[in-house]
Amino acid sequence: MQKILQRKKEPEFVIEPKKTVWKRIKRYRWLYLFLLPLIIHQIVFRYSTMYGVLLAFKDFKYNAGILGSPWVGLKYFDQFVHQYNFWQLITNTLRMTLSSLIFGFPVPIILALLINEVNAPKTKKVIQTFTYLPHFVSWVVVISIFQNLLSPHNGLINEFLGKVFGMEPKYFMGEKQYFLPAYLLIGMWKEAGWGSILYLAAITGVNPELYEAAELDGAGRWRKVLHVTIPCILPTVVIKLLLNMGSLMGVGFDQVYLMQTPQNIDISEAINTYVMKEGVKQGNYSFGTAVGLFQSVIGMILMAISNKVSKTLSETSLW
Amino acid sequence: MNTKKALSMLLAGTMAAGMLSGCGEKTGTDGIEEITFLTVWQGDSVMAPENPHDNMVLNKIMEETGVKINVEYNGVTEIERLNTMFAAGDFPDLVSCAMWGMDDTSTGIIKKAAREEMIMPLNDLLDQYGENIKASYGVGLSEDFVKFDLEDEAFGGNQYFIPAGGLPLDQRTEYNEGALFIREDIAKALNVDVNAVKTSDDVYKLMQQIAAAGFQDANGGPVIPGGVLHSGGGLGQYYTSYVDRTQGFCGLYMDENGKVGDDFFNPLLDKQTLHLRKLFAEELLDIEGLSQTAARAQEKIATGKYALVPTSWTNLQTWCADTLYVTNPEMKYIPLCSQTGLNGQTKTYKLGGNGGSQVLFIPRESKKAEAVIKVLNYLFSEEGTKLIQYGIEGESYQVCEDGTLEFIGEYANMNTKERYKYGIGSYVRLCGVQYPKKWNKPEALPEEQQAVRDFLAPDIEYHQGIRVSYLELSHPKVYDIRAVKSNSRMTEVKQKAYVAKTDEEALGYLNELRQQVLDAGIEELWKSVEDYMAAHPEENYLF
Repeated sequence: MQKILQRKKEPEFVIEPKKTVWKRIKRYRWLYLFLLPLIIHQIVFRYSTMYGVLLAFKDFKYNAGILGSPWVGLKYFDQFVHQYNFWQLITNTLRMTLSSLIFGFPVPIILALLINEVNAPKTKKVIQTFTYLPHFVSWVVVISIFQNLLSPHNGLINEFLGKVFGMEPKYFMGEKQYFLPAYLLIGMWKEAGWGSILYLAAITGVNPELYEAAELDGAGRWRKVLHVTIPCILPTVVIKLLLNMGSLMGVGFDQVYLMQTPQNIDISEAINTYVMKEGVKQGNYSFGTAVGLFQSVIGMILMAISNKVSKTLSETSLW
Repeated sequence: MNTKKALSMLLAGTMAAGMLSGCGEKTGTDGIEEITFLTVWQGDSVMAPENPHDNMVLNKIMEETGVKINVEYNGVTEIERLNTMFAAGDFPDLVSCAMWGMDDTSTGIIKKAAREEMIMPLNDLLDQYGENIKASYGVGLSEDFVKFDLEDEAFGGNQYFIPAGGLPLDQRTEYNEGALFIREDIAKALNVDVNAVKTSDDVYKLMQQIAAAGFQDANGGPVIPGGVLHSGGGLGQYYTSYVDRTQGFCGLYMDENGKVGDDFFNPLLDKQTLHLRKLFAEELLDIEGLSQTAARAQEKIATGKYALVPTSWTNLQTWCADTLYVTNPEMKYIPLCSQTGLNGQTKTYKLGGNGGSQVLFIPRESKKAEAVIKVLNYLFSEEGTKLIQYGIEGESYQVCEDGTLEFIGEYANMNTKERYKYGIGSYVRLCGVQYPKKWNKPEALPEEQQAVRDFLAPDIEYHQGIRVSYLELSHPKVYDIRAVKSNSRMTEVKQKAYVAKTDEEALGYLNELRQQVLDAGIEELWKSVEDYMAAHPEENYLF
């Protein structure tokens, strides 16, 4: 009997009708259910409270509430812009955030690249753990530790500098000239490890074949980092940079507030800390909201511009 | 797949239940009405009973009044708590807070709330149920506080606040335990006569001697001549010679030409500031003192780091009795004599009556105002006040023949903290007039403490009258101007001046704020005060 060779039937590719939204939801219903508490949380605590920005345009009265208080328009924005320390607050805030961007932004990337070069897996894990542990320590504890370490009275650092270099004790955590370096270095120590996690994840996503190809071309370790690793994680770096641009007008409140002293207040008073002192603590909610809204709008504009530039130059963008 | 389903349902359900668990109201049981009482006073949580739902004092209150008091404590600053309570509309049934009068921030907040009808007027309720509360109204309070704060014209005759914890003048015990304390070993080494260090200049010279001598603390580190409490507290002890004690009743002063001005414009403030700047510049005062925490300050005191400490004997006992005084008994702190004021003033000038008070108020939204007034009326009676302070007669205390009260049984051996566990003293914010001289046995003080009180005994002169800061209140611009010259802003500017590099820079900071306040129109306030005084020469005015 002649065997009839039959071609195996190729699977038919049928163009299905466009699925409705409901069908998609039904298909992934368990995942959506998983997400539901978070979505409710965001709606309740983020979106439903957004009407509170109206406070910035109202003269808040306790008995009238936000919606019932009289409308004053841009009164508090005008008050803020024309007050004695407006430019000081803007300058201080920009100084701190731009310094963080220039000096602090590359540190997690460099740390991730260095950790990635460690071959021993256990050592790698230990280093990772120790570098991101400070992230979980509260700023209150961190600043207290550094105040003790850097104290001009029996602080470890001053003792060391005095005994080894014969230096007079310095009030590192208080004086104006040391504020910015202390702010940057302590911030880096605390957050670099945690920040490096994102880049490490991006690095592990790099195709190993690219490294093999580079090795075949005679690339050493350094060239592999320069020509393979960095280009591959560049989109992640750009996205992170864009997100940071949005918070250019806002410094880390906890750290700055705890580091403020009468000696450094002229350069450490930022918009966030000022809003807390004059807005929240004094009960000037309208004023505080206006200042906060001003900060947010500027941040959004900066992020939009950066996003546009990035999209044009590198095709990487948030939206 | 079924496991996944079950897991995600369980997770979603747990989170949803967690979110909703905070909803709902507490309802009373067995005919007992429950009220929520918020004490805004920061630190009151140390007085919490071991069981806030079942303790001797609370059970008696429920038995007598049918009302259960659920106490809420405050963990943030008092100003913040009050502001957020009124702004958010999240009200308990009863609130206790400070009302220190005049331009005090807390007073401003609650009076604003009263004007905006966020607080319940109590006239009718007090007429019906508040006999004891009415009887205690105004006891021991200064007349101007009652007239201008409690009965502000803007309230239109409504009574919004109930003064609590009143102290009649004849029940007041005046003593002073606060001074500049010096380490005894340092005083001996330098042959310091504690009776001879009286002026700010004397203190300055002493600090210079201490700095030159190179003393050590308990850990072998160098001593700092002048100690500072947390956030710059206690600095006033170092510049007493630049303070005019006759004009310390309010925030205004009168110059030699009879012109009224704000204390921030007083030339004496320049002298105080420059004196402190000198002390900081010469490293005679602790540079960290202006921003250090209470824990850090106490640590320095408890290790003998400071040669001089501006505090009270009681505080030093608390911080050093189990630490420094045990390890280094020679470093015990002893008091210098009371410092003199401007031109050698030795008297202390006080208001003849309390210029402020703790007060109770009921938010307008409360549905249990009647229950609140009824329970307060009971607690404001003598029986109720004794219950709060001593517990139950026959069980925790007895009345002696001389009318004083004394703890009995196991309560006699307890200290105040231990009695809080049973609710004794926990509800002290709710009591009316107190009679410490009538009820308390004369305190058997430790010999040392009595010696300190005798050494620092104040020479007090009482004055009655109107504190002139009250006269500013009716001016329409007063709150706008006070916003520019807020207490926090003034403190910040002064502290910047203390650590300025030069005298000119220090005065520059003060003058910058002064100019801003002048631009805001403060001279109009001063003029209004002068005009009022000229129109009412019969009154006695206090500056």
